[in-house]
Amino acid sequence: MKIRTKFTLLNIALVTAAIAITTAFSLMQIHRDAVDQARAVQESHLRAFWELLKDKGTTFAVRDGKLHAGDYVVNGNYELPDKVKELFGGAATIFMGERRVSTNVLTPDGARAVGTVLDGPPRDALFRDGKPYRGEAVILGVPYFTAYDPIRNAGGEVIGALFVGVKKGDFYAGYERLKRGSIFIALLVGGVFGLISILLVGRLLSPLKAMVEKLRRIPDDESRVTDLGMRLDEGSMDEIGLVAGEFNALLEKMRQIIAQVADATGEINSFAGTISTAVHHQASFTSQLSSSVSEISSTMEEFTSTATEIARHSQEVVDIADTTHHNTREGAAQVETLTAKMGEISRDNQIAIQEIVELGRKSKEITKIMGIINTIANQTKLIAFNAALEAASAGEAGRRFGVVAQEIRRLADNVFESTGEIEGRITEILDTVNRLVVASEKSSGGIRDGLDYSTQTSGLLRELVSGAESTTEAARQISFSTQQQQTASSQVVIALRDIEEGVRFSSTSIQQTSEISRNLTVMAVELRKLVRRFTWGDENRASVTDYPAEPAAEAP
Amino acid sequence: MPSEREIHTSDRILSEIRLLREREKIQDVDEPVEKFVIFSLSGSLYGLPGRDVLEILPEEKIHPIPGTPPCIPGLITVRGEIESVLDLRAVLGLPARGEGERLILLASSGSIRSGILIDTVEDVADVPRSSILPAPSTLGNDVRDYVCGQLQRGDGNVALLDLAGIFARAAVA
Amino acid sequence: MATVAEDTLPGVPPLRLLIFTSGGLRFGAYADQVAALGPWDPDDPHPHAVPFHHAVGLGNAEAFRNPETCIVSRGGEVCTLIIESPDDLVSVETRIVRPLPLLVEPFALERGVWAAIPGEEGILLLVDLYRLATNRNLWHPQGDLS
Repeated sequence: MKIRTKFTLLNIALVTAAIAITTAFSLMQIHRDAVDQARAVQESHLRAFWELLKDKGTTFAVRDGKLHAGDYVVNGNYELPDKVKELFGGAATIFMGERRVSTNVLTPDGARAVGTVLDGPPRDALFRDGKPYRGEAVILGVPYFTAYDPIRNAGGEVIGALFVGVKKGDFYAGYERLKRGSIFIALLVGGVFGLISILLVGRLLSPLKAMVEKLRRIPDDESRVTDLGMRLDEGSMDEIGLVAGEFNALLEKMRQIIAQVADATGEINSFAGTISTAVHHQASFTSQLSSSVSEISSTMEEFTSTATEIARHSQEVVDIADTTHHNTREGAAQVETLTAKMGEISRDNQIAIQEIVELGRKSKEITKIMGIINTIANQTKLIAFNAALEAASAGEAGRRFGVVAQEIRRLADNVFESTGEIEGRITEILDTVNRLVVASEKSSGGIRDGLDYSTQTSGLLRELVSGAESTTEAARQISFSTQQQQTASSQVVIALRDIEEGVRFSSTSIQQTSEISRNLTVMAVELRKLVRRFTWGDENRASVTDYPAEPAAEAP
Repeated sequence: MPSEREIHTSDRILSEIRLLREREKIQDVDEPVEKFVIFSLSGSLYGLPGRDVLEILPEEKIHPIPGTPPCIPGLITVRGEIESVLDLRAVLGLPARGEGERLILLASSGSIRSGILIDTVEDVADVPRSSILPAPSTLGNDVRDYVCGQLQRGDGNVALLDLAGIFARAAVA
Repeated sequence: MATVAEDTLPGVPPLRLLIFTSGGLRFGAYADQVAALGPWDPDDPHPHAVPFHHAVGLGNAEAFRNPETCIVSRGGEVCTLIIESPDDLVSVETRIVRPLPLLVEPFALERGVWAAIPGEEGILLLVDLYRLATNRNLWHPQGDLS
């Protein structure tokens, strides 16, 4: 709805409301007055009624099922109510208990409305509380002000009620007329004022209209370009001018923002381009990586199989080395036994040799003694010789002396012979000893050689043992290293899988990135398009003309 | 119990032995003998008359004396007396002996007395004159000058030396 | 070697001998023939000095441990010998002097060695220095003494 219409309606409504309120106030007052008046009338009617009744009798009682005022029987006697009506008009009814027994109210078919029972608040007030009631009611479709007074008997009991009712309409007529008139005037005045306001408001709102016209130029569809350079007329000094100003400011902000967006779009685009390039590189790198990973994987498999082979072989080596070790240990033990035995023999031999040598030594001692004996014999012989020489010059005595010398000489010779024999024997012994020694030494030497040989062999065996141990150790090391390698290679495989995973993930993320980049570009294009819808002077349009290339469909 | 008529082998042998012994004794008594000292030097046997040899001494330290020829090594002390020593090998031209005990014959010829270095004394024997043979002709030149005869012994020929000649030779060497 | 004088031969006085060693042999020289003993300076040798062992014909070039000059003088002639420092100066009885064996005597006398005394420490050779000097031509005029 247009503002003018709103304004007009508002105006009308306000005026109308003002009038209405005022009128309503007045009317209310009038109404109240009317009611008061009605009530007063009613009271007078009621008093009149009472008087009439009291004229009939001052003591009220119910006898024989009829209400008596004095002696007057009320029931079926319509005199009083008709009197009331005649005097004042309005309704009047006399109740016996709660039943209507006399009234001037007629039913639609002309009969007296008696016999019905009273109910509702009047009843409560009258027969429960014993109090008069004043109110309103609709009797036979006509609104009345109602007034009930209790009829008490001589004992004070409420034996009936007296009712007077005045038609509201009687009193409201003026009110109604006034009301209608007021309404009419209100409407009239409202209409008049409405027209006036329409004219005035229209004039007031013409800048707004112009604004609206201008604003209309912002299109919804894509075909039109919005001129953000447009500015509203801020001439009018009122709120509309302010709004125009605010709107202009808003437009300016929008222009700035759009310009920024344009720039940003350019950046986004170049960004997207960079991402694309990077993604491209990454993709190719990833594919390289992937192929490298495949290569490494296959190499690792080879490696693993090789390592398994090595492990197997090294286990064989270990077995062999163990066997060798065992065998050579046995061999070494045997050799050592042999060596020990040979050592025994050698020792025995040595003892024998020592004894032989001792024998030889003793023989040499004997020889030495022989030598001494020989020396003595020599000296003796010398003496004998000298004696013989002397003897030659001493005559007969010398002759005998010579004989003695001869004997001595012979003794010496014997000694020599003996010692010679002994020496011969000793020489024989020594020869034998030497031969024995030589033989023993030969055998000893042989034994020594044997010992050396067995020691060598032992040593070789020990070397072999240690070699076997080294081999075993080495084989175990190889085994261990191989296991380590296997572990390492399986770890490598795991790592490769992780890399593969990462590559795939990277691929996925590359795809995502590609897609994002594409989306970015698309968004950039969209943004451009959006931006293109705005213009603010030709110089600004230039920045929006470098449209981004549509992103090529990237193969993931 | 042997019968008296039998001639016992033992008797026969006994009588022969007795005869032999008589002959030997006669031989011994009649045969003029000369005592010879038979010694070895450089493996050969030599002899000197016993009357020329005063004493056989064991080797002892020879004290050099200046001015003497090589065949006279020096002096020895024998019971407080000074004696010269002659190296017979040098005189006879025999090769020098190596180690070993040597003996010294204290010999005299004429007025000259000297010790003579020899190897060993084989014997001091009475040799019958008839056993003395003339010097062999097969001796070397050097030795020949001093050999004046020879003996035959069981263990070889003994060249009998001329002591005077040896001393004379030493005195002028 | 200190020899104790034994019973003296009548008329023959004991010999006074200068005992020294040369060439490993012990010599005893007439003390009277020795005019003087003096130090021997190898840096300032006497022109006519002769080592004793050369003079006597021992041959071996023995190095002197304590050389001394031994001046033998007879009349106006002097023989200067270099000897090892003397061991002793003794008086010996002629009784114990032994003539040299005939076989060696001529040779020895040529060198002035004329007798010997046997002893525990070996044979002491008695040398007549005059004889030695004469036989070996070792005399030189006294004026050449430095």
